[in-house]
Amino acid sequence: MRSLFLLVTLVSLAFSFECVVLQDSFTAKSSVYNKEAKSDLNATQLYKMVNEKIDVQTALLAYCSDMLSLSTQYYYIQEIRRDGKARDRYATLALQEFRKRFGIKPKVNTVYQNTGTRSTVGHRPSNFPSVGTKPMPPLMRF
Amino acid sequence: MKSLSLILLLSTAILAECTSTYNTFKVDEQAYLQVKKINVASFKADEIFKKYLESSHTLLEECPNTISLDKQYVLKRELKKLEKDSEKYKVAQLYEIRKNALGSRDTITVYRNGTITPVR
Repeated sequence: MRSLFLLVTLVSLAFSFECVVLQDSFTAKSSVYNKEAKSDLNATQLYKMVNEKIDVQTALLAYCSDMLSLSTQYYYIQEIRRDGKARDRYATLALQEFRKRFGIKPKVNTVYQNTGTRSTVGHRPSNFPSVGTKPMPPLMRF
Repeated sequence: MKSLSLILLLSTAILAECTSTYNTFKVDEQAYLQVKKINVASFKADEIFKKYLESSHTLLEECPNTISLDKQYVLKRELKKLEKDSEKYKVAQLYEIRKNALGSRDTITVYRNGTITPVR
């Protein structure tokens, strides 16, 4: 009976220790991210940092929700959702950064509005309208 | 007498294993419910989701009697549905973004009115 009690205490202590570690890790990652998000750090780094922060916060909510008050849980969920939106933005920016770094130029599509034809730069549409043609006036009825 | 004690020992061992499987399932289920509530994809969420699927399968295969028939039926149906959207919590790694950047080009559309500039 005594050993069982000791075992249960040890297990619960191990769980709470894990939660404390997670909480500390979250505080550290959150403060670093909040500081760097305002600076001019590249999107690739920010993407990595925001992912780490979301991971720790998700783990905290999933495994240590008993330690957190309901208001804190709500606040964390809102924060994760906000960070999720920021992460989408960083992903787009990181994509552009990679393209710039590897010198991948965008494909330019030119749309000629009068004819409605599409063409890439350097190729003109075959059916150009003649210059200066005015639309026909509507027929008058007597 | 000896065989009886052996059977008793074996059944106790099986029962203990099922209790441990059930406890693991309960922890994973609790974690998954939180992830479902958050509804934001992340590496951790993906990990928790996969863990939940695995522990549910283990429970249904090895110790189905630990949960009621009702719960078994509900769990089986839920698992079928979850397996369909297994990529729901997946997030692109940086190397995947890099690969995407190398493999595709951005497209810009320029609108022009279709007149020809007269030749001088």
